[in-house]
Amino acid sequence: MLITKNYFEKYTDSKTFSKLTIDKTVPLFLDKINEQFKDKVAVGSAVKNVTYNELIKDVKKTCSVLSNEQIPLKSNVGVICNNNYDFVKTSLGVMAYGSVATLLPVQLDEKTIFGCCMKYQLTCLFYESAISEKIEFAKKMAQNVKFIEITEYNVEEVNFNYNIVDTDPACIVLTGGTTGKSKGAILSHKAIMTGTLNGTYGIKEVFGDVYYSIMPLTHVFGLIRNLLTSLYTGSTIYFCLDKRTMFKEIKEVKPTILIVVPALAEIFLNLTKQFGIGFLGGNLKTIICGGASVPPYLVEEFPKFGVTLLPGYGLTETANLVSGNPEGLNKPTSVGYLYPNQEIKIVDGELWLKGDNLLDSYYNEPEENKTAFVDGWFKTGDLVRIDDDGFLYITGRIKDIIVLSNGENVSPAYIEDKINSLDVIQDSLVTLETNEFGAEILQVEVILRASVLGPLGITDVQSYVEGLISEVNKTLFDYEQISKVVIRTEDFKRSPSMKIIRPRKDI
Amino acid sequence: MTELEILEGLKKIFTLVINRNAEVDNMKKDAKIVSDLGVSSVGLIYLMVAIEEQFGIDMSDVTFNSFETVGDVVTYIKNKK
Repeated sequence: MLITKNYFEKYTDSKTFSKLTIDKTVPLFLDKINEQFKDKVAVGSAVKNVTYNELIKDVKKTCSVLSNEQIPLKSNVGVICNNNYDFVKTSLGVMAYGSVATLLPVQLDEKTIFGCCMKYQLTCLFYESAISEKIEFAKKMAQNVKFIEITEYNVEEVNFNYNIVDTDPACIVLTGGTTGKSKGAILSHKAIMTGTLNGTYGIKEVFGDVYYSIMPLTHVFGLIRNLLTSLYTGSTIYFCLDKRTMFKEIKEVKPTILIVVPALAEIFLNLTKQFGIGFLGGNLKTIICGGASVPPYLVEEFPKFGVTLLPGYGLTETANLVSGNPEGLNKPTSVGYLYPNQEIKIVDGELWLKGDNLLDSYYNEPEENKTAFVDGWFKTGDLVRIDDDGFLYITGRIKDIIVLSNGENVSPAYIEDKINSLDVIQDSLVTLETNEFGAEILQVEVILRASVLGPLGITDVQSYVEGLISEVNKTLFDYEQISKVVIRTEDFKRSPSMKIIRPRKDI
Repeated sequence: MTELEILEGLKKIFTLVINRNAEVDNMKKDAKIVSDLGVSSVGLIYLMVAIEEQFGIDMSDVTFNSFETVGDVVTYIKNKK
């Protein structure tokens, strides 16, 4: 099945939709936005607003620095920098020069930074002065790498590299690594430009937004859905410089769109309930939510405050977006329609993908590349189903599948999603346990949503929740039945992106 | 602002992150925020922001892990006001 863009046409007015066209490469993209949005503010901040034109000039200066240092084209150039304007001008500069922007998460420690210099065979590493201490070790050890501190360069601008073709690599993004060591996904110019365009589909008014960006720019959700789609749409993007001052900044910036993980959306919802929508600036229209399973409760509650929350699904390997819910036709438990220019097939329940947005390969990982691809199809590792209307549902991760002693396979995520559909449940985790008689049972641990449970005035909460779970059990196969309910008083262990870390049992 | 007034103000904020309204109504200063009241880590972030907003104070000098009990929070707010 090949998905086409016409699929999304009815959710956007025709004039806007006709503007949604693909840019082949980053240099062509930059030229286009410079021409279209010249004097508009591209990147805003309390200190300085940078227009599209000024941004393009700074990107050209980064190209100039690379050229002066004679950094080889197509070589890997590292960027390690906080979420700020320096990251934007540097990463885009590296891509427009024709090198491969290797985006290193800023929280890496000094030894790992050195390890990345080696693993990715960096010819050069751009770093922000604020983290220069962490670079010292790599500077000493990696003598073939050129280290460049990001600053306001006093150099002539040079033109972008127009010899780049769309299949050339643009960047390397490290995968999440919540389930294993992280890998570097090589994304071509075509992949990130397709990912950028995909972010514009399914929203009625997509141009001229105000973004407030919280996700790390070294993550595809931050890099593509936040930064690049913001630039594509002539919007202004502000960066969260410090999580502690996030809400003060949001009130001032008054974003119209936010891109967040569900745990953060939940905090936003509670604050909005307490202090009104003005707490989020008052202009917010849309929240794009992904990175983990999105509770339907959030989809249902936000519209009460005039905000649409649209769940989506994507991977580092797909330049962020695989699917998203179009505005106005939103199925709370679905991750939406598949975006255009992808071919899909479902093999034994697993989603396989081909398409313009797909990675080339993992950098220097021959074994991983052998297992991740079959005849050009990328195996996502996600178990899915598609309903009659074409909406996609994630039913589990292959790696998380629990194999019972009778050989039956249980997808914990499938059951958790059903449980999380109960308003009173904020989050849950299904695991295989052994009971006091030595039998294997499925257990669910839950965190309850206080704002819903409190007003119910339930005295025996345990019995109440067990009653709800037994209703869920009626919708499950015999071997999927939940036999034990544990109400947690402490949160689950979570990864930096606030995903629950699934306990692994060594076999 | 008296400690009692602060405690009443806190109850309003805690309503959204504590599972049982009765516990909020009877919330005492010696109640432990995480182990007694069951506030999750996501809930703690919300509490911090909500307290700053409600009481008009700046809490950038602490993390919420600095507080064990509701009383610790009350004392902190009192000293800031």
